[in-house]
Parts: sequence; C-alpha cells; structure tokens
Amino acid sequence: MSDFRRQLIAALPRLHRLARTIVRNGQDSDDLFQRTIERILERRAGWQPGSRLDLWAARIMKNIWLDELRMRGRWSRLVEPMPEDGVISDLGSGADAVERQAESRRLRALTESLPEEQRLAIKLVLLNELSYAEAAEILEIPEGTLTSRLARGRVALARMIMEGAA
Amino acid sequence: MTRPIEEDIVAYIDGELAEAERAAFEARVAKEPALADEVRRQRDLVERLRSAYPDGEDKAFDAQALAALGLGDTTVVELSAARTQRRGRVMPRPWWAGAIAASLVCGILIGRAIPGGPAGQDIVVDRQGQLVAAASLDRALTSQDDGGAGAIKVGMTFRTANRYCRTFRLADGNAGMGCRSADRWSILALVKGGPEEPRSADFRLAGDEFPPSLMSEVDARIVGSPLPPSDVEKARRARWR
Repeated sequence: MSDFRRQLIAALPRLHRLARTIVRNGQDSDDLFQRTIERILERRAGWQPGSRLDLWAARIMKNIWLDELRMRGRWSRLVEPMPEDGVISDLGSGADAVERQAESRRLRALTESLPEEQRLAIKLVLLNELSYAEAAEILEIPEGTLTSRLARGRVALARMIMEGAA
Repeated sequence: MTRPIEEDIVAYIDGELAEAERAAFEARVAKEPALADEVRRQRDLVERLRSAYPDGEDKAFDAQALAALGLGDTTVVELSAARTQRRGRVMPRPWWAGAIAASLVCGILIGRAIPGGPAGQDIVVDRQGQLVAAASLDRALTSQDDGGAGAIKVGMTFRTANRYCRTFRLADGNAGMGCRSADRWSILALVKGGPEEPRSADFRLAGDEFPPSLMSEVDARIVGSPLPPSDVEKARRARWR
C-alpha cells in the first residue's frame, strides 16, 4: 500500500467531517467530499511526500468549495436545514429545550450570514478544532490574517447576539 | 503588540497565545473589568456555537466505501474468503471478486486466520458468524493495561456510543480492534500491519504504532477521548460493562 494511499485513508473521516462543517447539508457535503477525493487522486503528483497530506487535501476541498461559490455567483451561504437535536421527551424541561433549539437556529443563521472568509475561519478553528497554523495553511493565508478574520467574525456575532438578533 | 485587542481575546480563548503573551494578557484581564466582560462574552459565544453545530457521528470507511472512492485495497479480502483459507484451502480472492459480505461492513479483515497463540492456537475464532477474541487475545483484552509489552500489546481503550473497545497489536505486526459485547470481545477490525507502517501525522490518539486504516476505524467510533489508566482500571473491575 502506498504511503499516499495510507495517509489519505487515515485522513478520510476528518475530511468528511470538514466537508460537513463547510457546507452543512448532507447532500452537498457528500458531493463536495467526493469531488475532493477525485481531484486528490487526479493530482496526487502534486503532493510532496513528507508534508501533511491531510492539510493538502483540505486545501483542495476548500478550493473546490470556493470555486463553486464563485460559479454560483454568490459569496454567502444560504442556511440549510439541519437535523433537529432530537425529540423533546422531557416535559419538565421541554420549554427550555425548545428555547435552546430556537436559539441554536438563530445562531446558525447568523454564522452562515457572515462573510465567507470569516465564516470559514470560524468553522475550521471552532468546529473542526484545527490550530491557527493548520487553518491558515488550509485557507492559504498568513496566520495574522486568520486571527484577524476570526476576531472580526466573532466580534460581529457577539454584537448581533447582544443586540438581540439571536 | 499593536494588534487589536479583539485578536488577543480570541487567540487567548483558543489557546493560541504564547506563554508570555498569555501571562501578560491574563494580568491585563485581572485589572480591566471591561476586558474581562468581553472575554466572558466571547467564551460564551464559543460554547453556544459548538452546541449550535452538534458533532455528528464520524463516517466509517469500510472496504466498500473505499472502493467507491477509488481507494480499494488489494490486501483486504472478503470475510468468507478468510474463512475458506482458515479451513486450509488457499483461495486468495480479492474483495472485488464477489459481492462483499455484509459482515465485512463493520471492519477490515486480512485474508488469513490469526494463529499467534501458543501452540498454534487461533486467537480469533468464528462464533456463530461473529469473529471473537479467544485464548491469549481474550485474556489480553480482558486483563492487560494499555501499552505495556508482551506478545499481545493493548494499544488504547475507548468508549463508543454503547460499549468499550480496545485496540491491540500482535507480535507479527497485525493489529485490530475488539469491542466488548456481553461476555466476549467482538473483533470488528483486523488489519495487516507491520513495523513499516508510518505514523499518520494527523492522528495523535496514541496511534503511533497502529496502521492508519485501523486508526480511522477507531476515529469513526470513538466517543470522547481514549480512557486514562484509572478509567481503564474501573472498566476492568466492572467487567467491561
């Protein structure tokens, strides 16, 4: 088994999760994931042995995603439906649960409405738990730029929450 | 540092400040209540974001899924082929030669029996269509600590949604994963390993000696982190229930 293939297989669950965080829609994320793997296999000669294949693969996924957004002529995402957090069974805390779900929906709507560069930075770091160095490498930007996008996005979200938008 | 304070706040919360920067920042927070408020607000935001986007289960990539992605592996064989071989008829049938047995869906299997036990004992046996640990492998999974030496080495212990699982490595380099069901260890994955398997830079879960394909099986099932030794001890005393 080649080193390339081994590393790619090991990275698959994380790449799949990354696709889910980037698009947030079951159908779309599988599509993004599959197209990413296809392109990775086409371009395997472009990977430098010794470098991190997972980050290289994630960069390819990010580029496919951004190309698609450009092609669709929009730079912001629609908010896709998400599976609800489960059926509310506990009557006592039912009202709380409904409230929490509604709050989560509002927060997702706000997050998805951020400029794409901020939205991606937040998703990679907070939801995919990548380090700044890793996220910056995937997004192909300096770490300082990443930090600035993260800060701007999060300050905007906190402000919107305070203003009662969420 | 002339960068905006907002950037320090998020980098602090994300654990991305260097030690000296962190100390300086904390000293400042202690003196400035408005800054402390802002840090609290941002921390709260992170928590709310994480609960607004709950983690789903990770997708497991079995042989069929890998084949669909153009990543099929000639070393993976069908479970029925493995059984045939164990009975002594050597039929190295690659997995694509026939329909993939439903029982393979739960893992990766190598194409031969696993003797490995003393006096040629099989340490993985077929019990009503399910591969389970036997003899020394069963004992190792039931009683050994994580790490440690010996003919069978237990790698790590973790919880899935409903049971305990442990990875193991045999003296010949083959590795696998056993998950506890009732009184036995079901072997959900067995992969051909070897000392030459490189460590995946991506995977930091005590997986350095384990084949990446096995670690992605673990990654697909694990809930939380691998258990620390004290929890392993507790689980053992509770008979892995």
